[in-house]
Amino acid sequence: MSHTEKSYRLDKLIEFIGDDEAAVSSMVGIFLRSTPELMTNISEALQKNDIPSVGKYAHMLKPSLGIFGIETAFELIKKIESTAKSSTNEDQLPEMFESLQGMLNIAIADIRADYPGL
Amino acid sequence: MEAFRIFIVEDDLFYGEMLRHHLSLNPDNEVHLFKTGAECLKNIYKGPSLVSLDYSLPDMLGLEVMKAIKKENNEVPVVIVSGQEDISTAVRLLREGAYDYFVKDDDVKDRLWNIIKKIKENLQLKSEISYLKEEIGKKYEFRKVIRGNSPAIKQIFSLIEKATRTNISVSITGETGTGKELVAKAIHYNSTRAKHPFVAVNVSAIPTELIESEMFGHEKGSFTGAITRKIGKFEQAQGGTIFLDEIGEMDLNMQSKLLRVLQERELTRVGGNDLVKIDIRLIVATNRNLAEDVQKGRFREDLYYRLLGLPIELPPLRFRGNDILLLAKYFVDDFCAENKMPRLSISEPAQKKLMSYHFPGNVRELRAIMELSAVLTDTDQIDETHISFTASDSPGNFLLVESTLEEYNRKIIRYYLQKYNNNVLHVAKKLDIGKSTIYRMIKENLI
Repeated sequence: MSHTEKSYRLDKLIEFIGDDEAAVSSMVGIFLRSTPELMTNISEALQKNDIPSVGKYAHMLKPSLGIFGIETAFELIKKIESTAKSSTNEDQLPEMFESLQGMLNIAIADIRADYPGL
Repeated sequence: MEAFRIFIVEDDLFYGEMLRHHLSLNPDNEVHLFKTGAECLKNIYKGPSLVSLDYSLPDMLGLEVMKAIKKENNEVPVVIVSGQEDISTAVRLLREGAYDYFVKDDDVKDRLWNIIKKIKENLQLKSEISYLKEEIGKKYEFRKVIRGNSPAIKQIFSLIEKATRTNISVSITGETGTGKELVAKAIHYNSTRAKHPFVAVNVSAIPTELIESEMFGHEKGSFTGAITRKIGKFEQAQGGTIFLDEIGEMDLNMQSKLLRVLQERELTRVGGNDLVKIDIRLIVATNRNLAEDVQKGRFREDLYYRLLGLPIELPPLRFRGNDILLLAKYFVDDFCAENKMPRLSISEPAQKKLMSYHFPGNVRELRAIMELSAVLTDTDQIDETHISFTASDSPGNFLLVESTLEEYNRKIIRYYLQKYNNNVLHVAKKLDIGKSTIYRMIKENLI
């Protein structure tokens, strides 16, 4: 992957919390801890076919993907949330979740590479 | 300035931390993040200036947390942030006293900034107001406002002190210019109600047909010209004191309405149906003899007794002996200080002249006389020539100054000459005296 097509961008985060290295790494740390947790929650809800919970966790995950500039994943999570809440085309949810997982794995790996030790 | 303490109660760690960092960008903000309602309530004693509350917390509902916060301190603004949009919840929360309600989205940070800005402005205004109120209170420390050492005025001091201790109604009587409103203010600003408004109404200055809406307010459209709702003087004085001056001028119809309001402790705005509870201390004043008005049927007896409360009768200045000189000096000093003039003394003869006068306009008149004398003098002393009494020639006060018969005669002639444009012939005819008598007096400089 070339440098210009980074899987994530921090400009929104910096706009939000200021250009403060300590604050930025603390938010990156929280992101790296909370995102896999929420992904697990969504995955478990999907297995139990608990669609309202899928919507709830998707809603919680949404802002962080937007703030970390993971654009395609952000679009996808919005779609997952609205699908779960509208209770139509629910059968597409596992497939959407799988591609979300793939995108996030890449982004998380990139972030870990940029912030080793977090 | 003290730090602006913000509590963020948010179980979504990512979101909460974002807000914390974001709001900490302003160094004036001291941001605390709590993950549960219980944690927030445990720290509420720290006195937050603003609480941002997530509606669905793991341990309790936002509404419960808000109620618990409000119980601790009703003044704290609580903003509810919710994951989902839900109008009925929003309405309910706002009714329960939430400062604002909004849904988590990209706007949250801007909204919070705006709210913080508004609350800060509000806090500043509040502290300015309480400072000004304190200043006003100091200004009305009554021994500074009402001056004098005479036994008559010392008795008034003791009555004012008694009045400040309770909520009893006070009725102040006294001639014009004796300081009735000053006494009313002194009572208010030295009582426990001092932090609430003092509202003065001069009953005689309001046309009869407007007085009810002026006092009790009116609803929009209740009569021609009532284009908006108006809050009346009684409601404006909520928690404080209302001062009704010249109460004796109130017509009988209004008297019965006032009586009802005082009895029920609630009022209805003109054209309205809602009952508004009122908590006010009432002070009335008049320069008429109300007891006499009651006898003549001009004033309701039941209202009279309700208003009487603690009666304070202000002595006329002429009965206050040396207070006249004390006040004269005070007014001159005050006037000189205010106009950046060097201090002036009052000569012996001028003092004598003041002491021999009857002051129908009382302290107000004395003040005007002394200010004029300070302007008239060209030296550092006020002499008797600078002291001029305007009212002394008016016939009503004629007998108040004791004089010799000779002096009374001259006064009468002087008054008639003034009245009839110095037409000596006419005056002589009117008074049935010879015109030569008048001419002789003029020639001898007696009049």
